[in-house]
Amino acid sequence: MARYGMTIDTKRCVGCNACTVACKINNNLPNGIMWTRVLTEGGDAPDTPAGVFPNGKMRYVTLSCQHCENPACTKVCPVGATYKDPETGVVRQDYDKCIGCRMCMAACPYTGVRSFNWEEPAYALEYAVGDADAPEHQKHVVEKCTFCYQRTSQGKTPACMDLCPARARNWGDLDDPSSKVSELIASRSYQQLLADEGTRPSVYYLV
Amino acid sequence: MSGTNSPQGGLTRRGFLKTTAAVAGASALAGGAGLTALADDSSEAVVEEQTFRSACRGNCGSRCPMTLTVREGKIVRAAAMSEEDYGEADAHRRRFCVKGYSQPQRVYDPDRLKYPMRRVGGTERGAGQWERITWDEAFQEIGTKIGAAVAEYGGSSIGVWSSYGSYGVLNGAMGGFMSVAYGRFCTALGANIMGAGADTAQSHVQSSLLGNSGNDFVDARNAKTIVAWGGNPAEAYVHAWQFVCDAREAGARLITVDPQFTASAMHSDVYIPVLPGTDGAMMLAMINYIHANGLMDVAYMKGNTVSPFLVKEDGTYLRGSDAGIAPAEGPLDAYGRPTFVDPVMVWDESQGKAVVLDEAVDPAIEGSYEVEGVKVSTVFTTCLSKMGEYTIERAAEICQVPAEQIVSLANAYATEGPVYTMTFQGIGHHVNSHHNYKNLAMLHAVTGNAGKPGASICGAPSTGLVGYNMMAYMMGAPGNRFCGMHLPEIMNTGKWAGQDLTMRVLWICNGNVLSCESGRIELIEAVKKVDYVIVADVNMNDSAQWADIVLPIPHASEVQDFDPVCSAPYPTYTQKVVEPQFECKTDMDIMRGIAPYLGLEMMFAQTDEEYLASVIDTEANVAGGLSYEALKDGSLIRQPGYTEDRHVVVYGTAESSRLKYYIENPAPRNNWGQAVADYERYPYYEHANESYSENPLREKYPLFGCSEHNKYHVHSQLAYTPVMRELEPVPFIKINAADAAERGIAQGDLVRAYNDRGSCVIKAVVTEGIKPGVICIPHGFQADQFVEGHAQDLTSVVMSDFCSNSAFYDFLCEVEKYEGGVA
Amino acid sequence: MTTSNAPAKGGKALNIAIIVAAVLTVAGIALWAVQLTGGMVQTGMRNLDSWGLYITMFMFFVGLSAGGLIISSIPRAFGLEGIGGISKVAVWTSICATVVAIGFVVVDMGQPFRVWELFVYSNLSSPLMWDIIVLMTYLILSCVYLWATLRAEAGKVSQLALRVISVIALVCAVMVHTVTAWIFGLQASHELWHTALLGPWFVSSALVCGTALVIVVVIALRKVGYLELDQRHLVKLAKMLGAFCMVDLYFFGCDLLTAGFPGGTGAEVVEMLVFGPLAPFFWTEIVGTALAAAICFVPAARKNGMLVIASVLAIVAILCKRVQLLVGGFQIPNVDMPFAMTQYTVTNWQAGSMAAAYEGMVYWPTMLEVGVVVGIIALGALLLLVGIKKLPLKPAEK
Repeated sequence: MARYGMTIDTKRCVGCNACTVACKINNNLPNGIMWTRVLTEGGDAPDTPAGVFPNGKMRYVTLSCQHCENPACTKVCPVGATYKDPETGVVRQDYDKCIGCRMCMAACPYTGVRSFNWEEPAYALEYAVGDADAPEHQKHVVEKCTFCYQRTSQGKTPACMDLCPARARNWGDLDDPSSKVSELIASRSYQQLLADEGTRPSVYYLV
Repeated sequence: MSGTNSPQGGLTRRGFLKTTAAVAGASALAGGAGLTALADDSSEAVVEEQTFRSACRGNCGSRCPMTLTVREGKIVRAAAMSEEDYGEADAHRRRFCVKGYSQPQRVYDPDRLKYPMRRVGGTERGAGQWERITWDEAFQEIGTKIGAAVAEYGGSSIGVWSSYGSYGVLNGAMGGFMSVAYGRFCTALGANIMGAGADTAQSHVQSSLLGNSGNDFVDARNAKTIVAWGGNPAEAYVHAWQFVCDAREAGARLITVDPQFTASAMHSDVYIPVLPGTDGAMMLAMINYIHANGLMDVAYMKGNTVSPFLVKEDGTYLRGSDAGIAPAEGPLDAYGRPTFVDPVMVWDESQGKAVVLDEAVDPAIEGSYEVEGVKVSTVFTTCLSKMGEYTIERAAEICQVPAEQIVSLANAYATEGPVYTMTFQGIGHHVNSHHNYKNLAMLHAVTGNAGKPGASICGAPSTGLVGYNMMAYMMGAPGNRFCGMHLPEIMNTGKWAGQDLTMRVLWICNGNVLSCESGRIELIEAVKKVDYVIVADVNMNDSAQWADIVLPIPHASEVQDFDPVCSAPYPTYTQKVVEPQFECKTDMDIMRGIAPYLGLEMMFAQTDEEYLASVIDTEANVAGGLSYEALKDGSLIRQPGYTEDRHVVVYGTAESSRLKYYIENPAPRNNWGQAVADYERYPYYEHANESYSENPLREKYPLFGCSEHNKYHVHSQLAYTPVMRELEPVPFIKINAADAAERGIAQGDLVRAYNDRGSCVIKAVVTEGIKPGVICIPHGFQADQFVEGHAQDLTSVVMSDFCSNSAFYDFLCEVEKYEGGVA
Repeated sequence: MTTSNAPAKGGKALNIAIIVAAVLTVAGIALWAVQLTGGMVQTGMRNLDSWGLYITMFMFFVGLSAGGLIISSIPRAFGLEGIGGISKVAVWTSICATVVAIGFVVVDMGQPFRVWELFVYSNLSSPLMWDIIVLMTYLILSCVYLWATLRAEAGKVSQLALRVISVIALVCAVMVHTVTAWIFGLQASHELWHTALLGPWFVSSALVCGTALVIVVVIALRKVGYLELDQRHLVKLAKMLGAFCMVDLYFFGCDLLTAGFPGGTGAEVVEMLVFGPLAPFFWTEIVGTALAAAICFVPAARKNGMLVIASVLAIVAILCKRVQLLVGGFQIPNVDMPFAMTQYTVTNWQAGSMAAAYEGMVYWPTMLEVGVVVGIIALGALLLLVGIKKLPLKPAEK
C-alpha cells in the first residue's frame, strides 16, 4: 500500500518540456494531446516574464493530474470509470468504461489536466511509440496522466521522471518517510496548487 | 453490477490485461541481456523489443549517450542510458533533453529524402521540380561532372561545403572534411574545403589561437559565482543546468549577462541586460576597474598567465635570441623535423633584469623596459595601454547597463570566486565578436579564475576529444580552405586569395548551410552561379531546395559511426539500430559509387568496419579498452584518457601552457592576403559591423538583431519534428512590449521584419523579456515555415576578416504589423 | 362545447407543422451521426471548455419540463379550481421537454452506445448519476400521471389517488431540477457554480420558464379553438409568472451580492457577468425578467399579446441564465498561466494567447451543434404536435 506523489523543484525547473515529450512518446499520445504541460507563470505568452524589463519575474509550473487524495473527479464519474487505486493512490482512468460525459473535466479544478479525445486519435507516426503496454487511446473518452501505471507496476520509473535534465522531478511513496519525495517535502518549503479546493493534491512544488 | 468503487471492479478484464502485457526485451549488448518476466496470461502476445546503446547526434554539441528501443523494426523510444550503464560514480552525468526524446519522430520525419532526385531539366533551381533517378544514374552523372570539372579546371573547381551536421569519422565533416568519405575525396582531388561560418569567432580565437578551454560542466558545482554570459545553460545546453543548480544550492550566486531575460536570467541573483554586440567593452572596463582598485590576483598572473611576457614594439615576444641567447635544440616534431627552443623573456624583479622565463623568480607583470636596446613592455602593460578608453562609465554607455552593475560584476569576478563563466557561442555572432574571447581570457587571468575547481573561462558541452588516427583521411592535400560564406565573393570575382579560382561543382553535406549561415540571399545567388550543385542530406531542407541533384542520407540511427568529439567522458559511438529507410545510402557508399568514375576505387575499397577500426584503434585507445571491437556492441566505455584531473583545465607555468589572452602571431582563419590589424593580438573592442547604437542606419532600422539557440531546436534538424511543432508551431520574433505598443503590434500578430537586404513575415511574441530596442528570431526554422521570407534574409555575408565568422546577430531592422492576412 | 374528437381549427397547419418537425428531426439525427463519425471536434467544445450548447439546452429543457409539470400539478395538488383543464396538455408538454432534455444528454456523450453502463456500473456518489435516476423516475412518473388523469376522467381512478400522484409528481419535479442544479452546484471547481443557492434557484427558474411556456401554449391552443380557458385563470397564471420572476431576480441579487461583496475572487465572477464577455446574456436576463414581471403585474399591460411577449421574454431570460452558468463556469480558469495550446485546448485556440482565447466568450457553438439542437427540439415539437393531434389531451367537460 503506497501513496504515490511527486515533487517538482521550481528552483530548478527551466520549462524545457523534456517531461512533456518523454511522457508523450512513452505513452504514444495522439497529436494535440499532452498529459503534462509546462505553464509559464509570468507574462501572457509562454516563456515571457511578468514585470517590466529588466525586472522580470518568471517561473515554470509543470502541470499534470495531481492524483489528489480527495479527488473531485472520482466522486462524480457516473460509471466509476475514473477511480482511485487503493494500492498506489494513483487516480486511474478506464477507457473502456468511460462514457465520454466529461463530468470529471468539469469537476476537476486543475484546468486542463484532463483531455478529451475530440476525434479519432491521430498520430505523428504510423506505428505506436513508447511502451508496448501503454494503454491504447480511444476516440471520445477522457484521458490524463496515469502516473505511468504500466511502468511503476513493473518497478520502472514514470517517463517524466527519467530524465529531467535539471533533476527537478522526483516521485515516490509519500507514506514512506525515507523516500526521496518525503525527504524533500520535509526539508524544503513547498506550495501546492489550489490548496484551498480541499482536493489534497499529491504533487508538491518545491519553492 | 456495482463494485466500481473498488479498484478491480473499475477496470474491465480487457483493460487489466492490457496494462500487464508481456514484453520480452533483449538488450543488444554483451553481458546485459535480460528477458522480462512473461505475464501469467498466455493469451496476450509477447512483443519483442531490443534496446541499443547509441549517442544522440542532435548536433547541439552534446552527444549525449542514448538508448534506442526498437520494436518490430521501428524505433519506439529514445532515452538516456541507464543508471546501470553509467555506474553510481557517474550517475550525475546521465543526461538527456527534450530534443533527444523526440528522436523517434526525427527518424520518420515527413520531409525525409527517399531516393536520389534530379532537378527537372529546364526548371529553375529552387523551383522544387524534381524527377526521381536511380543511384546508378546519380553516380554516373556526379562522377562525370566532377571528373570533367577536375580535368578542365583542376581539383579546386570542386568545393565541399559543410557545417556541423556530423563529425562522424566515416561520413562526417569535422573541420570541413575530416572523415574517411570526405577526407579521402577532398585530399585525393585537391578539392576546396568550405567550412562553416557559425561559431568560428570562438573556435578560431579561443580554441585555436589562445588554446583556452573550459572545465567540465560538472565542475560548475564548485563555483562560488557562475556567470551565464553569452551562454544560456537553462535552455541552450540544459545538461549543464543541474550543476548550476547544485552550485546554487550550496550557496553560489548566478549572474546572467544577456539582452534577453532567459530562463537562466529567471533563476539568477543578478540580471545584467547588455546590448547585443557590446559585451567586449564591459569586459575591458571590468579589467580596468580591477586593476585600478588593486583587486588583481597578482600571483596567478605572474605564475600561470602570459602577463609577464615581454613584448617588443612589433608585437612579438622578446625571446632569448633577441638578448643574445642562442636557441636550444628541442624535440622532433610530428613530421620528424627538428625544432628549436627560443624561450620568451620576462623581467625578473628580484634580479632587476630580463631573463628567460624558466629562470625568473619574480616576473614583473607591469612595466616597460629596455633590453639590449630593445624597448619592451609586459604583455599586461601592453594590453592595458590599449584599453584605457574603457572606463566603467564608458562601458555603461556602450552596453546600456547601469554602471553599478558593471562594478558589481567586476567585484564578483575579483572577490567572489571561483568564477565559472558559462559562455559558449552567444558572444560570438557579431563581426566584432572574436575580441570577446581575448577580453574574457584576460578577465579570468587577472582575477585568477582558472586552473582550479569552480573557475572556468568558458563552458564545455563536450569537453572530451578521443585520440584517433587522422591519417586514415589523408590521401593527399585538400585544395583551398575557406569559410563557405566567401562563396559570393569568389563567384563574383573569380578569385580567391589573389589567385584565379573557378568553382564548378559544389557538394553540400553535413549541414544546412543555406538556412543556418548568414546572408542567405547572397549565398543563394552565389550557389546559383555554380555550374553543378549536389546536396547530400537526410531531409529536403533549405539547402537541398537549391540543388541540381539531391542524395538521400540515412538518419544517424541507421548508420554506425564514431565521433571523436565526445560527451565527456564517453566516446560517441552510434550503432546501426534499424535499417536505412527508403533508398538512403551513407556518404561512404556514395563515395564508393562515384569513385570508379574518378579512378578512386582503391580509396574506398575496404568495409566500413575496417575503416572504423583503422581510425579508432590507436595504440592508446586499444590499451585503454577503447577499441572498435569494444565499442561496436554499444557498451558505454569511459574514455581512458579522461581522468578526473581533466575536469579542470589547468594552466601551467611553462610558456606554452600558460593562460593566454595575447596572441603573438595572429594568423587569420582564412588567409587571402588581407592585412592583419595589430589589435588582433590584444584584448580589444570595436563596435559591431551594423548592429551598433551610433550607426546612422538606425534612423531607418532602429532595432538591434539577435537570435538564439532555443530549447526546441538544434539548428534546423528539428524544424519539422511533429512534437516540437506542437510545442512551438511557427517561427516567431520576440519584441519588447514597449516597442510593440509603439508599432501597434499585439500579442500573436503577424509582423514583417525587414531591412535593405530582405525581410520575413513572422508571428510576434510580445514580451517584457527582451531589452527594448532588441529583437530576436530563434534559429532553426525553414523557409516554408515563414509566412514570407526567411530570418536569414535579414543577415549579411559580412564577416570579420580575421576569423570569418557568420555574424547572424549583426543586423539592424525594423518591424511593422503585417496586413496581408492571418497566420 | 368542444368535444375531444372535433377537428381543431388549423388541422392542416398542424399536419404541416408535424411534417416540418419530422424533417428537422431526421436532419438532426443525421448531424448527430456526422458528429459521432467525424468526432466531436466538429463542435465548439474543447478541453478547457468541455461542455457547451448541449448541456446548456439540457438544463433549459429540464427547467421547462419541471416547471410545466409543477404548474400543472399544483392546482390539483392544492385543489385549486380553474387551471386544471390545461393540466393534460401541460403534462404532455412536460413529457416532451423531458425527452428533449434526455436527448441532449445523449448527444453530448462521447460514447452514447455505452449508455447502458449507467445502469450497470452506476456510481451512486455522482450527481450526474442521481440526475439520470431522477430523470428516469420523473419521465415514468409523468407518463403515469398523464395516464392516471385520463383514467380519472373516465372514472377508473379516484380523485384522491390522482391527487396523491400529483403530489408525488410535484415533489419529483422539484427534485429533478434541484438535482440537475447539483451537477453544477456541488462542484467546488468553479466559483460561479459552487453556491448552496443553486438548487432553489434552479427551481425558481424552472417555475419561471415553465409557467411562461404553459401560458404561451395555452394562449396558442385557445386561439386555434383547441381548448377554452377563462381569462381570469390566465390572469392567475400571469400573476404567478410575475411572482416567480421576482423570486428569481431576488435569488440573482442575493447571489451577486454574496459573491461580489468581499471583493475577492467572487468579484471577478460578478465582473464577468455584469461587464465581461457574458454581459449581453446577463443584461438580457435581468431586463427581460423585469419587463416580464411588469407586464404580468400591470393590468393595463396584461393583454394576451403582451402576455405572450412577457412569456417569451421570461423564457429567453432563463435561457440566458443557462448560458451564463455553463459558459461562465469555464470563462474563468482556475489555472490561467499560458502554455503551448493545441487544436484541442480551447475553442479559440488560434487567438494568439491564453488571454486572447478568453477575451470574448470562451465557448460558442458550431453550426453542427446548432443543427443537432434544432433537430432535438424538433423531436420534442414532433412529439408535442403528434400528441396534440392524437392523444385525448383536451380539457374534459367541467
